[in-house]
Amino acid sequence: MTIPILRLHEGDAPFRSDPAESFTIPARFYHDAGIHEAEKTAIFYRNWWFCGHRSQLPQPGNYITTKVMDQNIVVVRTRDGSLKAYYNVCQHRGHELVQGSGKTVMLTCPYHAWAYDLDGQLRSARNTERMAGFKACEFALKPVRVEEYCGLVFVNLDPDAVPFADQAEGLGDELRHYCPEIEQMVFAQRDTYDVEANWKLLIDNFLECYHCDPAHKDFVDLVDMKSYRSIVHKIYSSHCSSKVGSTTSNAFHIESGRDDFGYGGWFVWPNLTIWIYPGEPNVSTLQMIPVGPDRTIEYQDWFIPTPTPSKQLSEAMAYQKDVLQPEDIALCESVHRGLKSNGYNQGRFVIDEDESELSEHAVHHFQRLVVEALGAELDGPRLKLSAGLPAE
Amino acid sequence: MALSLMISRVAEETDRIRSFQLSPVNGAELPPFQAGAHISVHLGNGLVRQYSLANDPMVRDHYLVAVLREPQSRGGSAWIFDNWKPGDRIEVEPPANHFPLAMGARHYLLIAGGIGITPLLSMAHVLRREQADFNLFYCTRTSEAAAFRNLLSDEGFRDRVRWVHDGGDRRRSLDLASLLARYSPGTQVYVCGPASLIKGAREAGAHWPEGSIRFEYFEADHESLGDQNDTAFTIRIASTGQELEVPAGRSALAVLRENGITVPKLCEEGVCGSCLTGVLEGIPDHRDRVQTEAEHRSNQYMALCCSRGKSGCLVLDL
Repeated sequence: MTIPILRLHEGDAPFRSDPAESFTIPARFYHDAGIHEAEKTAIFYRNWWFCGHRSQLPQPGNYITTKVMDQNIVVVRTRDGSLKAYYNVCQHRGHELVQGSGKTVMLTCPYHAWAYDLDGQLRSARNTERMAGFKACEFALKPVRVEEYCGLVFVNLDPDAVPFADQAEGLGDELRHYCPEIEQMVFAQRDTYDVEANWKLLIDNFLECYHCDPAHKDFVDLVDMKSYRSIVHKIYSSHCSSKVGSTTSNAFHIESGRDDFGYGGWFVWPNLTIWIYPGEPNVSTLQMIPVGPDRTIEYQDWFIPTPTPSKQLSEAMAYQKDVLQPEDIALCESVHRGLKSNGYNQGRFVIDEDESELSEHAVHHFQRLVVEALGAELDGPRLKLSAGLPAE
Repeated sequence: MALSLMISRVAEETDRIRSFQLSPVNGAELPPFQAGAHISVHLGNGLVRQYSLANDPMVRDHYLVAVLREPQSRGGSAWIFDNWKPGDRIEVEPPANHFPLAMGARHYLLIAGGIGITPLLSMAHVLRREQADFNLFYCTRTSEAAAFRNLLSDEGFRDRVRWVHDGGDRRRSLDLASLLARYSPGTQVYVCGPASLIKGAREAGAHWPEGSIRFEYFEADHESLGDQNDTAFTIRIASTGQELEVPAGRSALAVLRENGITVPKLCEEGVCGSCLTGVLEGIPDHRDRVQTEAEHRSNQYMALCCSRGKSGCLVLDL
């Protein structure tokens, strides 16, 4: 008899609400195809998905597209200046409506030239004028929730979703503390990474700096780690250092801009991380997009004061792209391989009461969100090992 | 804020024209209107069409509209003739008026062509009641093709109406040149009908003072974009200042492409919106069928595949 994948299996240790007593979620959660499929509807169709910055939709008619897993979504700035989002599919016979990003007066399908206005209403469908029972108002584009928060644009496929601002209460104040100009930033560049690891591993990795000392030598030079703290909230956690380690680290040199903080980092459920480095104003998003259980695409989008970065910001961006990301990706790809080893199923979170910079409590927080979203029942006593060893 | 009205009466005015009385339901009051007004009607198939109100504005219990059955209907008149029955409910927008009757003129000339009689009939009711000095010239192909014959043959109208039936022969149509040869001060003219009538009246009355001749152009349901009078016009590319001439018979879209400027295009007949481009200066002559009337009036965008220029140079947001 197969035990459901979301239940404790033979040999599984429990995932507990207390991080210090909890084991990590079992390895199969990182490479099982069924789990990956379940995450689509249980997690990604029901939560806020980052899709861009307001500067990418500056004027009425501007549009961007995004894919929430397999769902193609278009976000537009309408004539009255508000943001609207729709499933990016023509209501005629299902052709994808628009591609990429751009500016348009009507959303016109390339297949049969059906035209929708920016409010999603069907304006023109050739040769349907004499069809009995054809009512244009029945063919409006299907809307999707869209919200802007501190200049960051999110969509949600759940029409009843709790507003982002309510779920992420407090995040805005933190972001504005580290980058008061966050709404005025403009898109500068997108770096793409193709990682052979499950998306959750990349997030697990982001959520702790326990690995920073051994694995990110330049980072711990730049950032004062003694003042680095991970603090968990409802759907986000913050990872900030209030002091610069060195303005002349090998990461990049800080010659202008702020040096009154070392680093600001945030995880926003389910798959977004936000980064603010010291120096000249900057904010970047690093989003982990699951492609399959064994593969994730990451987009790092940089938002800075001008579309072309200054020398200092170029150096920061190069550090991220050429040093930090490769370091993290190598770690995560190794873990992904390791999780398939018969010599490992679950681990522990290293926790200290002070929630110091070495504590992994934020990783537990994320895994708990995963467990809850999937409806996995992983708490309880350790099950007996099949080899007959005693249970705890 | 649409009104829900009931079709209370349908009359066969001619073999191709039907009139409809639209009455309020549940004792609601109809918004008032002035002669020359029109309502936008939600036909019931998703289309919205404008129809002039033909009745006397003093009549408050119904609106009267008349529809001409076009053989190549785009779905407006064809739908109405096939579907509108007494008792049906339809949604209409409250009256708007781009063709108001100005009171106080010494003489009035109302010139109607075909279904263009509708707003002028409303004006005639008012002018008759006010005992104003007016003449209505009603031009149709044959006498059988004229709507509201009984009403216009009535006592109060009989002496004011001039029937002009040309049988399709241009030589027998209304001699606008003679009619408008001399401007007599205090005369106000209203013209409503097909493009040929409007064009003839504009030319014949070119020397009349500004505002003394008003036109309401009824775009025929089927009229293809090529039928309309195409004159040359100029466009300017805002970003470079380059000016291009768009000759009669060619589209701005084609001329731009010839000059290496590509604009998105798809249907090239004014229905898909792909070529809609911002207009920074100038007034377009809108011929697309994808923007609303309000959007046309705002002149913010024009369809480069089919629309032309009304005045001066069109500066395009390119």
